[in-house]
Amino acid sequence: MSEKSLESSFEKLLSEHRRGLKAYLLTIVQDYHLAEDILQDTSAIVAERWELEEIHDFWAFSREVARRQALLAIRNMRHQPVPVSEDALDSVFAAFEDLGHDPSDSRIVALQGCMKKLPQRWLKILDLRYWKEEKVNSIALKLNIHANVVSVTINRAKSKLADCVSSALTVDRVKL
Amino acid sequence: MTSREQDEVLWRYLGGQPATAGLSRELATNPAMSRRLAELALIECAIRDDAVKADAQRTLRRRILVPMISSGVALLALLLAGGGWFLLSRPEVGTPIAERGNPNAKQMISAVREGKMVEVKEKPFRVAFAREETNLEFSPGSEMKLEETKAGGKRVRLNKGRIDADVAPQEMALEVITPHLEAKVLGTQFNVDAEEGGSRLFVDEGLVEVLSKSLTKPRNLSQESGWWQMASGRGVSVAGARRVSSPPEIDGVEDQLWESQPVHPNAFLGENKVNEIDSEEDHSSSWRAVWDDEALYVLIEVVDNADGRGNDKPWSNDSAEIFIDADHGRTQKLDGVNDYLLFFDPSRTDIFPGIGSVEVTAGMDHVTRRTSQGFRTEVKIPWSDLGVRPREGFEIGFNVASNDTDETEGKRRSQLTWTPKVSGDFGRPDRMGVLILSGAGPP
Repeated sequence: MSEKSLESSFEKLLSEHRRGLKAYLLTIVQDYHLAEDILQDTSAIVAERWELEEIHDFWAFSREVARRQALLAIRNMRHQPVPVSEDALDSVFAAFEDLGHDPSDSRIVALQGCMKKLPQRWLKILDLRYWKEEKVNSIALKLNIHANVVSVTINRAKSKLADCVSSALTVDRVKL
Repeated sequence: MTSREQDEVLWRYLGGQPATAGLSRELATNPAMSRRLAELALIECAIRDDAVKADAQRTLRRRILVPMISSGVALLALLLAGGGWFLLSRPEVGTPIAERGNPNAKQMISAVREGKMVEVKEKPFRVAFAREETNLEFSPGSEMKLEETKAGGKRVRLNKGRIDADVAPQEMALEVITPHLEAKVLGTQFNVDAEEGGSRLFVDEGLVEVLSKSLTKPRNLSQESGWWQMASGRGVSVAGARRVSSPPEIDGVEDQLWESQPVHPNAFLGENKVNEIDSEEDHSSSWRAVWDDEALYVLIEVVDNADGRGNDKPWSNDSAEIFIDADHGRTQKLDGVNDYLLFFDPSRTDIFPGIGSVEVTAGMDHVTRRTSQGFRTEVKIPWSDLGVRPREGFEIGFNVASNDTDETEGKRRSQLTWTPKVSGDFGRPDRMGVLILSGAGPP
């Protein structure tokens, strides 16, 4: 395979797994922005290894690199043990096996559909929190509701979205 | 642990909360739990995707009214048909059950089932209904009671405090009654505040029918003509103005008469495009009102830490607004007879009538002056100018708003309003709140 096609197949694979990798990192480092940073390091390491050796299972390999990078970051930053046990990390690692690969952005498409089913109030709160990046207290003030109601609503909305996306993807698989 | 509780634990973990030994063990031994954590993390990341953001914001813009979709209707009908659910000791279908969060929830829910008035103290009290997706959250300081209506529906009496409600589709309307308003709900999300001298209702989603309720002469619930509808993003506030034996002096001073009157906060954002409020010191406002046979008197207090003036349009300066639909005709436009939109700008000496308002009359008196915290408007509006005869129990359409800018000849930074969502609807008396002329009230 030429150097150029090697590069493009790597980019394609990384693009198909990027969101999955970030989510996996989030389950370890518990911080979205930190997960984004570590994803950059992870991508660089995986790219380097991609050029040097033949990687048969890109998803398993990149997850393993992500895991090591995340644990390294936690140890460097906090000087404390990782948030959950090794066994728990193994179990989460396995859980991502068939969840992280999304070549056709089907999860995003499903999520867009599920968003439309959310109650107006929930969507409004998600809009303020995620896309307008307002703080919970500021949203509470704006909507004249308690901050804990905002937090609970955000989590409840996201759980509903997770159920809806999961169900939509299952239906798609059955159709296939 | 229910799936909802499990999700709450996982969300807290993903948000940075340290994992307990129990969570770690559960993740290690329960593949379903690990899978759920993975699904939630994927949502947490995907929700920030630009395509999702753009699509959701388009949906938000398009939506005016979202129909409630739930599969619970048939089940609910079945449950309610059984009747008598308040009296049963075992939680059966539709029975009120307490959700976690309040240490006294058990005792409180027992009292609720017995139909007693319950006082919510330090923590919110959440009431759900067995196998029904209806949740009522009462804020600390609330006094509430649940009843079953003759027709088998639910009725909430909220003497004071606040209820945030997420109501599943109901066969019989859920009724919410405060000392000032009554609402009928078939399935929606809304909240109601009941405070001394006034109540507010805001509809997050769906449709609520509302009846303002005279403080002195409560209307019969069956009197349908008084009801009007509040759709998503709208609501209504109702307040009472006490009768006084001697009127306040119109001097812009908060004298003793005003100190004893209930204060009504302008709690809603009115501006749709820009709302930059840094703090309560930057912009907050409230009002009080009293009446006698001659006039209606209103005191508006605006907190504002930066003087904004110089624009020839008072709504672009620091200013206050009063809206009046004197005959409570609730028309869609100011009627040109006795409907007013009046601006009070501390940098002007006159009262500025808004578009469509009847002209300001010589009988109207006002003082608007800067204070150490912002500015205050005190105004007298004669009934003769409004063309109505005042009496106890009489209702007028009413609203108060305040505008804030921090610049000279700048643009409005924010707008606050007593009754929700009037911006762009200045000419619509049907969207004003209700001011009820009450008796003298407590001394």
